[in-house]
Amino acid sequence: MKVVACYKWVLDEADLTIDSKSRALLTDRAKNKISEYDRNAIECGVNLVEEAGGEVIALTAGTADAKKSLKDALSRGPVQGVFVKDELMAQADASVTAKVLAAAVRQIEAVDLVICGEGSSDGYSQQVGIRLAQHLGIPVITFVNKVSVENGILRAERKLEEGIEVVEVALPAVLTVLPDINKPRIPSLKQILGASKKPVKEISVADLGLEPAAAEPRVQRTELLGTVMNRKHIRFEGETADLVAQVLEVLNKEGLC
Amino acid sequence: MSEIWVVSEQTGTGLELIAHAKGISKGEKIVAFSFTLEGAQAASNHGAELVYQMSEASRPEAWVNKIIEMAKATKPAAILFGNSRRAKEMAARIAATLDTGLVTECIKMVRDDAFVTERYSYGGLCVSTEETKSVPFMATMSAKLVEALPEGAAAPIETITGAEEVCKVIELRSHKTTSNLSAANVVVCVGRGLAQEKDLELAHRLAKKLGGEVGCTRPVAEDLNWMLEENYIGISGKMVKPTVYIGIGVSGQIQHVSGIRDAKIIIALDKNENAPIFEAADYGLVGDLYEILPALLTALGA
Repeated sequence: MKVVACYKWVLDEADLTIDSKSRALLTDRAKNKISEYDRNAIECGVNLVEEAGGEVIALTAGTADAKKSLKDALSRGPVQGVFVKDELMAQADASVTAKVLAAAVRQIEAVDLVICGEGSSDGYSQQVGIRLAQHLGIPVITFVNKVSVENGILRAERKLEEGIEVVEVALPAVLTVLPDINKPRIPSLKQILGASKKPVKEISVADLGLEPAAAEPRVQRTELLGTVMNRKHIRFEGETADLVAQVLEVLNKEGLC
Repeated sequence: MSEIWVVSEQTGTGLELIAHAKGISKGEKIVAFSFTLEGAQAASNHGAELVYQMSEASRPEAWVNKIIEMAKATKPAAILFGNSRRAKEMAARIAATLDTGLVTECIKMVRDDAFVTERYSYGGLCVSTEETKSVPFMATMSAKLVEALPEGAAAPIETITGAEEVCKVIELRSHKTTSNLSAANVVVCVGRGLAQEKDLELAHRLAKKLGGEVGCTRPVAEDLNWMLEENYIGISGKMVKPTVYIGIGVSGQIQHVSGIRDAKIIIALDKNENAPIFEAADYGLVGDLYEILPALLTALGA
């Protein structure tokens, strides 16, 4: 089974801060990482081929900066990487990313299964994997936290608000996975060293034969500001009895006690 | 005449979407797509000018190709969805084929020349403002931003056929949902500051006395398994909008705080004075919850 696991190289939100005056997002201290749920996607693919046979190809589209991501991705089990390297990815919205990835998957050929995280940890727009399937003309099963493949039939459990929906579909298909589907491995030193020996194919968006219009974002960000939480920031002080009294006052005012 | 479409498999959400559509309409006809008779009738009575009721007992997802076909013929100005997982799948599939943008989890929507929207980014740390000029404009709307329009004259309801299921649905194992957090007037939330599972009882007593519900932070549900996942509050869990939120041993990570930001009053109790929750709180108590909470319960007679 040939599996493509897609991932995004994102800023680590743990390193991000907001300038309290301008509300600007400060990224200077931020490192990058493979987006959380994409690690689950890679792990899912690797587990499936470890059981059923086959191989996983890691695929990402990004600016030149994303090159660093490949070592991490390849240390998690894929046999090779495909990196669509293009500066236009800095402006890409979900519609562009999905078209780029779809073209790359088509170029890889004979892909049985594409696995994506349900959303990226930066924008979390939860669309790329779904759009990707639509462009490839194959079914997508979304919000999956359990999956198995047997004889070319994929069975998956979708975790929806109302319950678990169990579906089956013949391959090829696309999955978007939830973080509770698995626990991504921590690559061993051997796996990390082995990663640099694995082949990586680097291509540009032009190599994919996409029309320039396809690379134009449909949604454009005009502003990004820190969220404002206007709260009173009052500290209750004193002994336990004082604290309790102050809390009761607040609750009383709302008619709760 | 141009149209604005709203699509929802949930009745209440559908009514909110009609209200949203009214808010951005420049005279377009508001057309609702419903998947149940109840939803269709509600939409018909609360502001839709035409209702399409998908007639067969198929999943909403099975209607995507039909909606795409209708959209290509009618060319609506906008298509709005709710925020359920099913809705997000449908919206993204439709947007991909129509080659248009999609704004998910939209918290604000305004129409000038372009559709200008706001949504959270980086786990709730930022608000992103975006512009969509592609047609149709598509968005999945966050819940409870607007109220349903008042009841009015009933609009016509047409049944639609043509569902296409590409997957085989084996079963749907429904949750017996016990969580009422989204609608709760008071939310008592426990975090990792709670030492052991049986201490949840303190939170339950407090919630019961105040007429509220108990929720938790993600680690308490996912890692510790002390509460069901449906009870975790956060940007990828439940978003709550209570009059009073009381955090007990909650440190206040951004992903959790994003889920409580609409609370009228936030009270936080934690032993760590540097916990980020205090930046997000109206009233903060730095102290030992095992001293303060029992004393509070006694004072309340709980």
